[in-house]
Amino acid sequence: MSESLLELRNVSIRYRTGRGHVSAVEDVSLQVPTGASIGLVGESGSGKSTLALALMRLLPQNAEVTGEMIFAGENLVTKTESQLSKGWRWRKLAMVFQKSLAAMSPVHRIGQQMEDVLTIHEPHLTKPEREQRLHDVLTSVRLPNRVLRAYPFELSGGMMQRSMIALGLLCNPPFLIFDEATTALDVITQTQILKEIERLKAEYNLTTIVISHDVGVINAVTDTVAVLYAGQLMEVAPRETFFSNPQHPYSQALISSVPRLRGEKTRLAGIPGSLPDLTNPPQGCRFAPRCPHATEGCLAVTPPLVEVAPGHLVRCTDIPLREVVA
Amino acid sequence: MSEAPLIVADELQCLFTVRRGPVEFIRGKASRIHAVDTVSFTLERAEILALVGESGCGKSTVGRMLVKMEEPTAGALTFAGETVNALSGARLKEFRRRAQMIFQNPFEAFDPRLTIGTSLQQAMQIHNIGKDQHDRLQRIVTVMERSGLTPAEDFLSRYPHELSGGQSQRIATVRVMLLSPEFVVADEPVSMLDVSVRADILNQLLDLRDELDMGIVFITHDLAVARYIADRIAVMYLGMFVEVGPAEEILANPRHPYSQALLSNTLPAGDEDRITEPMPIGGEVPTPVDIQPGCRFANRCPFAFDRCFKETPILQAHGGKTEVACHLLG
Amino acid sequence: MAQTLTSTPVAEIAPRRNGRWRAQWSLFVESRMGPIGLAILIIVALVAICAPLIAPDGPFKLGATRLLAPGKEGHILGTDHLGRDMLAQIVYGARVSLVIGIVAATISLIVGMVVGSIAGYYGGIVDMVLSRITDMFLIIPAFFLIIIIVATLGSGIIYVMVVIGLTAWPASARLMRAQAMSLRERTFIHALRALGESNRKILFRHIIPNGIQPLIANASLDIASAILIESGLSFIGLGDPNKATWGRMIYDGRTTITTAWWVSVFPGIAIIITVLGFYLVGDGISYVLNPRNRKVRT
Ligand SMILES: Nc1ncnc2c1ncn2[C@@H]1O[C@H](COP(=O)(O)OP(=O)(O)OP(=O)(O)O)[C@@H](O)[C@H]1O
Ligand SMILES: Nc1ncnc2c1ncn2[C@@H]1O[C@H](COP(=O)(O)OP(=O)(O)O)[C@@H](O)[C@H]1O
Ligand code: SF4
Ligand code: SF4
Ligand SMILES: [Mg+2]
Ligand SMILES: [Mg+2]
Repeated sequence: MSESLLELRNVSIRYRTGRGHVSAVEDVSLQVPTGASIGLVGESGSGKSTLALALMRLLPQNAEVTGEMIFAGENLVTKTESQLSKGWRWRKLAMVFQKSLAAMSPVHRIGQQMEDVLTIHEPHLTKPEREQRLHDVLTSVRLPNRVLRAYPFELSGGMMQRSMIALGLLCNPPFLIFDEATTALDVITQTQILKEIERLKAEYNLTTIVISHDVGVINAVTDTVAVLYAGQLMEVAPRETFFSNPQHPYSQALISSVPRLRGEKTRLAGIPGSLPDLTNPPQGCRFAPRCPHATEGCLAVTPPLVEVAPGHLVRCTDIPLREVVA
Repeated sequence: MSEAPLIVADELQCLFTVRRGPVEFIRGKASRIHAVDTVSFTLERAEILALVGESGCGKSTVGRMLVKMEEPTAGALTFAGETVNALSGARLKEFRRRAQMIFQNPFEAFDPRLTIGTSLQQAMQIHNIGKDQHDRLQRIVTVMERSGLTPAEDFLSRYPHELSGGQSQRIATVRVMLLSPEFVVADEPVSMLDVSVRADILNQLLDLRDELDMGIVFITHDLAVARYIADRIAVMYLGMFVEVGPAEEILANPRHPYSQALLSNTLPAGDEDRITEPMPIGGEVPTPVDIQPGCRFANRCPFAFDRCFKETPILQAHGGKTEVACHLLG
Repeated sequence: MAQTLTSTPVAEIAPRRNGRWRAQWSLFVESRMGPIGLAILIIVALVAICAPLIAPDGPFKLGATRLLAPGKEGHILGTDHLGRDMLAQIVYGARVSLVIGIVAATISLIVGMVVGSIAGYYGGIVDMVLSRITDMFLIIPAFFLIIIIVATLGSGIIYVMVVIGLTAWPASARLMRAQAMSLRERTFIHALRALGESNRKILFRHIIPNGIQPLIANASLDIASAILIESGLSFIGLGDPNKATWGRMIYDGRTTITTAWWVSVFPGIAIIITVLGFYLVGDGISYVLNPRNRKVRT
């Protein structure tokens, strides 16, 4: 395996609230090799955005992070705010947000906002150089230059999302996080933007994390899938393996609850129940209350994340049994 | 009466007038948005029709007209043999019981100040269903438990914000079922929900159709969902039906260029799903303001030719059960 | 079909409190201003209720000594030019002021609520007509209208209350109209229409109860301004002569302000404290209603 650009070591994130601690991310360890594209799936509230915001060090005040996030040899957790804003955020790691309209100021032109980002992060650039850069990123996401003079509300959802990707690419970061970047878009626009992401990845050798609860999106643009459930990684697998031979009961349920475009039409099985209360997560396996295979043993101890095949990790006590069968 | 189709929509049209600036106002000239322009179809009992298309193409407007939440600018709507357009008073109220709607946003389906029990009882009281409170509660409990919402009592005393999106949408469906409607419009009932709970809502609707012979118009932008739930699919583009036919037929062999684009751009949830490369389509859905004659898809259609810009294609069967509106097919 | 379920104890669903009230109360407490205002108002209200205990002789008992300075001869706040105990007058004045404020604000709240919700919910031509009427009332200079009415019809306290109420409602109407317009597009209102609920019931059972909170905050300010208006009227001599009101006390004290400051100053302080109490409560309610202060739901 090639060298890791990003490595998460036992990252846990808690939010302090009036009702107690919400353990939004629990003991996540993950390697992201240079050039990889990790897909992070999981239902709403499973901690995907929390993890992404932690990487950007953009979590709200009431959050606390433990563990290590090693990016290109340096620990992000211990970086100070001034170090981060000078030369890290946007230059080394950038993010395209879930609610892109909310991420831009409604009263300033897109071009102005992009130029401000450049002025802050790359102050040495001259005005013509900045303009050239703006022109370049717009071209790379296939937007016309007139977008620079537009206000956010004047753009359609697809154009806005492309502008946000352009903003992410502005400082040529080697690493980009997409948090539900295409969720609100129409299928045709979504496919176009995903193709754009694929092309940019090849062009700039980008390393990406793509967050989505839509397995179709994950299938389209990732090479490794990481399943997050109630803050824990339940399965990490190469994309083909994840779709053809998922091992964790939650992954299996997730894939079989999605209707298909082709093939035999069988009655879909949903996943009964809902995420556990994260202020008071259940003992043992966090998926046990909804798991069809749960046994007494699952309730006793939290199953460890076990490598069942090279690059395929599963957190389930039931796995050895099924592997024998397989 | 029993033989009449459940719904007959005959050239339904819905235009919205928007006055632009003061100049147009003085000149009395208003822009008109052709939200829905001459849509015709029939729906039988126990049939599910899915309306698919990109956002803004008029799906919800069609749905709202079908349950008389929006008045058509032109066209006629017949429900079980009875003309709906001019209904009022007691007959309108009876229509409201028989034709129901389920909405997209499950988090806002109920009055936030009332418990679920109160809201459900209220729906029955509107139509004088049930002898007394005890009787009503009993019916509610029965229907909820049949939909897998157990223990029902536990939900009845909750407030809407104490429910998850999936639970809320299932209870919204229960509220509709309590009135034993014959026809339901479900407007993107799963699009705001998590993938894991979508299947439950879809199955709940399918079961309802089987039990009550209910006709359903299901609005969605997801072709895979449409395939799962619907018998027939109608593909909409800018206020018009461009292709209508049996679900499997349209998915196996989409004939309108827009249907082809939609299908080939739908992301497969597994490797075996993808059949063709995504068809590249430029631009985005334009706003249907002051429509000119010609095919509405012409400015984005890779196959457009002269005739497409002059003449509006109409929905026609070209062999088979599917009707298509495209000049390519003659 | 439900025979098998007759034993289900469905009728015994325990009534539960809506958790939102608790959350809103904790926000109100968090606003800091709100609880202070509420504490002030509770004290003022207690004083008004217990007036006969605090001043058993009533406000109009003439004393032997006129313009007695505060603290002398058992008159804690002194006496006025007729020798009446200042404390007794202020305590009874609280009753009048609170009644005026509350009645006037209630009139304004009800009129504004009905007019505004109908305009906002029905929209179209109904809205046009009602909004024009509201605008007309809004541009009438309330204080002068009141002066004219009181001058022609007499200065009975009833007139004062009703007139204040009937000139203050446009603000509530506008608030309620905005609320109704946004509620009208909420899914649950659409759902109720689709279920066949009548417009009248939607309006009174759903739109108004869900939209009334900003009006309550506003009513609290209305009470404050009604108290001020009444004081103003009394101060220029148009108050009800048969009532011990704070405004009239200030009016009475104006000629002796240089020699006996307390006759005017104490009722002035009473007005300021009470008005402040209502303003602070209004502030607290506004804080609760500001979406930015809502807690993230987990
Ligand atoms: N600021 C906050 N304070 C307290 N708890 C929070 C905060 N932000 C998120 N949480 C909680 O942390 C958990 C993970 O949230 P997160 O937003 O990361 O989920 P997600 O997987 O991105 O979901 P979605 O798909 O809805 O965006 C949830 O239980 C959420 O309620
Ligand atoms: N009340 C309205 N006034 C003006 N335009 C409207 C109104 N309702 C819908 N439209 C327009 O009609 C078109 C179709 O809308 P809609 O039926 O909501 O689409 P969909 O449900 O497919 O997203 C859109 O262009 C929309 O902007
Ligand atoms: S550990 Fe047990 S409960 Fe958890 S996923 Fe595996 S089988 Fe299910
Ligand atoms: S009529 Fe012409 S423009 Fe329209 S879909 Fe057919 S080929 Fe394309
Ligand atoms: Mg998220
Ligand atoms: Mg819609």
